[in-house]
Amino acid sequence: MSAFIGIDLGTTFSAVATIDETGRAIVIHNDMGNNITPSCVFEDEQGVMKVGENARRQWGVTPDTAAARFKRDMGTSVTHRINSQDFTPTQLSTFILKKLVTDAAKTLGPIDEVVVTIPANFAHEARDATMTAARDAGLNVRHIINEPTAAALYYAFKSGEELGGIYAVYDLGGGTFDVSIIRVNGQEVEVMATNGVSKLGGDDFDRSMRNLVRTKFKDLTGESLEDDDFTTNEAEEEKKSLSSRKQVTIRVARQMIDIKREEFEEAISSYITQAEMLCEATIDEADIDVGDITGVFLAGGSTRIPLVMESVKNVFKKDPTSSVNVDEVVALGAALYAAYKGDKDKLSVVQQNAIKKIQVAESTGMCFGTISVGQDTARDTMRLVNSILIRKGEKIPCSITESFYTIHDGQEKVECKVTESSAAETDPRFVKVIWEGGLDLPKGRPANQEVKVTFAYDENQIMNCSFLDVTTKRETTVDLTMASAKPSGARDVDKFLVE
Amino acid sequence: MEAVLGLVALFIGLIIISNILSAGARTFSAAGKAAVGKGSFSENMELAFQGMNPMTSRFVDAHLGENGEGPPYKAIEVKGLFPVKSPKRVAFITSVMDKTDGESVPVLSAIEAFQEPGSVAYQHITEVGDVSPDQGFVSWVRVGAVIPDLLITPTSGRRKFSAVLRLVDMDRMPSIELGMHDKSDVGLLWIHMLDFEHTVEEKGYLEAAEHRDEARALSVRIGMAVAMADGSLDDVEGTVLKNWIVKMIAPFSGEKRDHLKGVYNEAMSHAYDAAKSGDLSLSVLTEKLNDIAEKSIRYETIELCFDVMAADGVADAEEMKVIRKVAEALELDFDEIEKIRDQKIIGLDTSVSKQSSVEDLLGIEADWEVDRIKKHLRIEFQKWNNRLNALEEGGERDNAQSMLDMIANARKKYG
Repeated sequence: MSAFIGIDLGTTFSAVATIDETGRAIVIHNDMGNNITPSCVFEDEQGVMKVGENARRQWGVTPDTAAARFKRDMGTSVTHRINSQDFTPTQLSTFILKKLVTDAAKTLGPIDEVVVTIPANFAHEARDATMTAARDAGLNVRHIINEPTAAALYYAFKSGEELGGIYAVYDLGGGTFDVSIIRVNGQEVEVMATNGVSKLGGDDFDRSMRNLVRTKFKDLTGESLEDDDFTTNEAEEEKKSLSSRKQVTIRVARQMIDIKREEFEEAISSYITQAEMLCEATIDEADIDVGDITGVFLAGGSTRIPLVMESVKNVFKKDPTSSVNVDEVVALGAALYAAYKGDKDKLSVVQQNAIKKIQVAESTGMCFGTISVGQDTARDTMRLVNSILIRKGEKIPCSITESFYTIHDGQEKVECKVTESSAAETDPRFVKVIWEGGLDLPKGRPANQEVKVTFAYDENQIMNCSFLDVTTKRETTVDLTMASAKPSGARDVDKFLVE
Repeated sequence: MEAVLGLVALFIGLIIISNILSAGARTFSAAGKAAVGKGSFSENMELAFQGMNPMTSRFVDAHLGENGEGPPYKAIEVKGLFPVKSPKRVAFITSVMDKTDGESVPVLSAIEAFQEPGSVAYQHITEVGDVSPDQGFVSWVRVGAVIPDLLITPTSGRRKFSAVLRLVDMDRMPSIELGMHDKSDVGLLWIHMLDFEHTVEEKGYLEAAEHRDEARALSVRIGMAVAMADGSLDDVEGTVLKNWIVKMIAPFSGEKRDHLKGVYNEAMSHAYDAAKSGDLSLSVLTEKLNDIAEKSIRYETIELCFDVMAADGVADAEEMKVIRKVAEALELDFDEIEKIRDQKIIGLDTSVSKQSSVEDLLGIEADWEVDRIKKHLRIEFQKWNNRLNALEEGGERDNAQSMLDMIANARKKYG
């Protein structure tokens, strides 16, 4: 049995998969026998942190004792309070990962290598935070893969036939939305373009459902609904019901409230339109017409919503492929990727044969640049601009070098910055500086000294940046992601107990 | 003093010139290369031998850019013996004077790196290093550059210039102010003049100053037109205009300050009355501004308009329409206007900015085809989605999210 696993660390649910003796990708059950585990954490009366279904229920009943939906805040300064303690999203993700791997190890034994998936438009800090959580959970994460790419890999692998052509992956999960345009040739997967919205998913639809019920309750009674009269968990259940029924009747605070599917659809239509616009923009970025798309792969539980299916058909002019469990495809693809990237000697001959045709070519989901001075031709002045070195959609791995020049005689220092943006943004106000440092230069030199700036992005989406003074060979370098991964200050994960 | 040094260090630290982003940036970096030339000074000087001619200089016309596709510039090259009687550490300094009207007057530079240390007069320095008597350049070596497009002259039109090339002792640096030096300065080792002519399109600094006060009075009137677009002048809008005037007169004192205060106050008062009675003609104001104002003042005006619009936290539809008209009439760069607009929008309270339609906010015209509107909305959606990722949690991020919601709602209308 291989011990390569793929983990889909989701906003609302997480899943773990591996490849079995026959080389098939399979989901590993958790200790309750379920394929997916709620990404919820709660602290019990003994102060023990628990993860999974009970935590989800607890979060619904007494939200103060539990945390959920924290994936959206990865890499930010937002904290989630459980009882009287504040936890970072990284710390909470550490609990989840530990639980997932502990459960998987019961089935698989010791885990050799882990691939964790991340949303395609996760910013650097969020990727970094995910890697930190994995490291703090004691996992040997050598590779990460974007969620839509993992989904595409699984669909290409499982079809059993030689797929060929351009496919769209529409990944609408609990918290984030990603869309990728991918060229598939058998089991070779090449990302052509990808985009995402960091806060668009089932969580927003649950909130829309809650708001809808609140509004109806107020119309009916003239009173406001208390938070615990209709919890997020209940909203989620009703939302799911509306995927198979035209109408639900909800009993709330001794009132019966009818919610029609079309009312719910109207409430979430703005989100669906956002997804549609992003799909169209991604088709543009891939430089193809919608007619060039052979098929559409679905991933994420929110794609079960009928309006979403309709929207997908409307945008891509095709019926999407959703013959597998859309909650699991990302984890399954990640398991295949783990085997593909891992030490093949640890795989059986059958497993090796099963994955031997897999090829994955990922592309950058972000633009990376540096801040320099350029002439503002509009205003005839000089000003700071974001100079993009690695453009979005660049095939990974890649390495780009550009020359810059010192501007002043006697310039003794260059301030080096690495920026990130999900669009080709030149205005420094609208990009994120993900690293900054300095390059000291010798005294007494005239202006126009060449400084070579090199950004190299490897297949694990780790970027090495160097700023080299050509004359003296003085250099400032940074290995982003790994180097900047800081200890999360995870609070005593050892006290974590599996439910 | 420490604070000042800190700021200077920070600024110097920030400035790397990009060769990829804009024509201007390419221009500058290429100019740097051209000034240094192919081989180093020491390589050329190693070939020195006695019996060379005295040092002389010449212009070589060239074009910027790696493939010579950029704007023209004049490289200054020298050849011959260094006019020094003892070992010295030397540099070449290039200044440019305008002598169109007979008298030599300073020429200014638009770029700080081509300015004198204490003024904005054009200057370019190339350090050579240590030289000895009997040393010199056997070949022509580039030691300076004049980029005509950077020159700011007293007035526009066909101008006559002198490029003043000086060899100076870096250990006794002569004082050069506004392109002129003291002849008795011992640090000045050699001087040579090279004449050229060039047509300057942009308004000269004397012309600009002459009309600046009048132009800014027009800016106040246009700002008032924006404020009154919804039929009334809110206190916060009036305060924005007042603060703008205060800022504009701040550098002046005495009579000049009083004069300007009167001019601007009168402009505000008259514009208010005209707007109330429906007699404030935007086209007349913008036409006049185009005639007399340099580009930077026209941008100042647009920024004032957006400040007025954002003053009450509401991106009012009528105000946005007026601003759009002003921007079009002032013939300013569309991308730049968008950037100013976005910067203001992101600071608005989202709950009130919803009072304005997203079409107004995003500059969508009523006569656009649906496909064009959809594409525009898609581009704007991508832009704001990126900004959402770049902003920290808080008000501005919420506003970016609100923009996404508004764009999506607008898109729903167009199918």
